[in-house]
Amino acid sequence: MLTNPSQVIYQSFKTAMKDAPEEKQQINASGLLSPKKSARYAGNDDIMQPANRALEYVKYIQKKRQEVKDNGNS
Amino acid sequence: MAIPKKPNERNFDGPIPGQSLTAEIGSRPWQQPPQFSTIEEAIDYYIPRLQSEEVTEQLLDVLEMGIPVTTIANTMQLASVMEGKHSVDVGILVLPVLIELIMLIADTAGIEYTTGIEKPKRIRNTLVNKAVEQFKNEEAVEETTENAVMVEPVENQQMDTGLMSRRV
Repeated sequence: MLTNPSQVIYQSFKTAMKDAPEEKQQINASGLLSPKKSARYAGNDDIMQPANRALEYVKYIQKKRQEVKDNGNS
Repeated sequence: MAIPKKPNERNFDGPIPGQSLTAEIGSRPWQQPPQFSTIEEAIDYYIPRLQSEEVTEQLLDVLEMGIPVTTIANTMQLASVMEGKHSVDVGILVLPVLIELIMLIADTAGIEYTTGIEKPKRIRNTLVNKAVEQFKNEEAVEETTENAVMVEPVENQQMDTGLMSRRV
């Protein structure tokens, strides 16, 4: 019986991070015919899902951890 | 005085089946609406707790003892669920964040820890896998012996000192 789901959840998050599409640079068009909504958010409301929000936190802390490791090595 | 139990002896001190249903509904903290209903609120609850000096010291002690990070994180979120701080769903979503936070604290303190995520090296119990594993081991042993033979003592090398001699 699975009593500690941490490992499974952490691995799922890692897989989700690998599969996540890379963020594209937004081109700010100022013309009259330019789309009002950015391409990232148009039709992609998944970013506001709780799991994705948690994923963003994990990414941020991982980045901080990497910085700590890099500072420790140099 | 507690009488020590044998490994296979049944524990009669535990709750009997259905005992949890005898308490009045809503009398337990986890039967009440959770205090923090979103991930952000839950993280805001955990971060100051983990940053406090007292908790950090205890956390580092536990990590140094070899308790995996995943176990600590799961215990923390489970305790909060029991206290009615957040729901099980929020606890599950907060788990990876807690794991990363604990690892960040440990990295900052510069201690070695077990994550609990590493996969144990497991050999499937088939003949082919065993043979492959044995072959790899033998190959590794051969390589080490070859390397040992290849190294020659420095004493045998003659040092030429002439003008046309090769530069080393």
